[in-house]
Amino acid sequence: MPDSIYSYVPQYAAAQGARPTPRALVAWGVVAAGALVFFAALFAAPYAAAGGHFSLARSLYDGFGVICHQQPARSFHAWGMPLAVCARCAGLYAGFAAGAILYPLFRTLGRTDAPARRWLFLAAAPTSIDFLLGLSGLWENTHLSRSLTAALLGAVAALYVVPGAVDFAASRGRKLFRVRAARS
Amino acid sequence: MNNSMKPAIIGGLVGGILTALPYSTSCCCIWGLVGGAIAAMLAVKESQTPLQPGNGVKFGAIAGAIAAAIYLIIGIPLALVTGSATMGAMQGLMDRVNPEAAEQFRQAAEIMQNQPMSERIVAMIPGTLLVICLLVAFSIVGGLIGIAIFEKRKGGPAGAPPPPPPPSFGGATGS
Repeated sequence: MPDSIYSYVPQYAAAQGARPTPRALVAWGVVAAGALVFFAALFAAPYAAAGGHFSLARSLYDGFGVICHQQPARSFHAWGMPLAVCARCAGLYAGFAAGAILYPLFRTLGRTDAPARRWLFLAAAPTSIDFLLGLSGLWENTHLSRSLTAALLGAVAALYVVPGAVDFAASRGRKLFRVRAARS
Repeated sequence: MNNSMKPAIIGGLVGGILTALPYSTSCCCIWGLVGGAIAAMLAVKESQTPLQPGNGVKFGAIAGAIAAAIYLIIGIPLALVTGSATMGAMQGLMDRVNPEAAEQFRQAAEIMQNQPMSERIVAMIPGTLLVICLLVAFSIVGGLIGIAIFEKRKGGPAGAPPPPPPPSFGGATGS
């Protein structure tokens, strides 16, 4: 006897533009919260140093030293000490955190496709120009120019990361569901 | 070697070696991102079907784990050798920006310098764990961005037309 049509499980659903699933919300939450914690950690290093917690401060400065030159003259300061990364890096991470948090205002979480690549390259142009002008000596860039141009790149980069995280959460969830269904 | 692992291993090797080299860290987290992006690019080239954005997490995470392992093997011994230089730089910084805390820092630094090697290695654990987390996180971001940049083909599993229902489905409901 043939199965009832009501037992048919659709194999495909047009997810683009659809309502966000709980998994999509979780994926976005993880990316946004991670970016925020990461940005807060930049301030933890000077705070620990100013508070006399030198072991913790050294660990944080050493750890972030792997991803940034940490030159004090090119860094924002807090509590009398430089942040754990330079002004350009701080702007990049601030922009990424803002972009990740505000992402649902610009695109629905149901989408798993990234924006066109040209927007990422366009967003990278200002900070690249700022860097190259400073390097060539044609223009003396400032903390503000370094951080703002990098923040633009960070914010746009978040538009490429969140859809991937949402897609990953959806596909992993489907696999987990299949495994559980097979076991039961 | 599993073909799906090869791109991630190559990306991890590139990211790990460049991260572990001293004085190569002047470019905003670039090496972790580059490692993840290289893994994604090679995976896109090797894949017969279009990769989905979420695949970047897998390739980036594996590349980041390999980069972290290489950092442990190469970077830690180098960090032990150059550790006194780092402390000297921090001392100079403290002298300039916070003279009140500089004396405290000098005392703490002397204690650290006089520690035996085993205790110095233990003291490096928190910073090393942070580096591992950063490398994996940046490689994942690099993998996600890499897929978005390098995957130009359309379609794939999520974009494919729905498969036909099984032959057992029919209009025989209720019969």
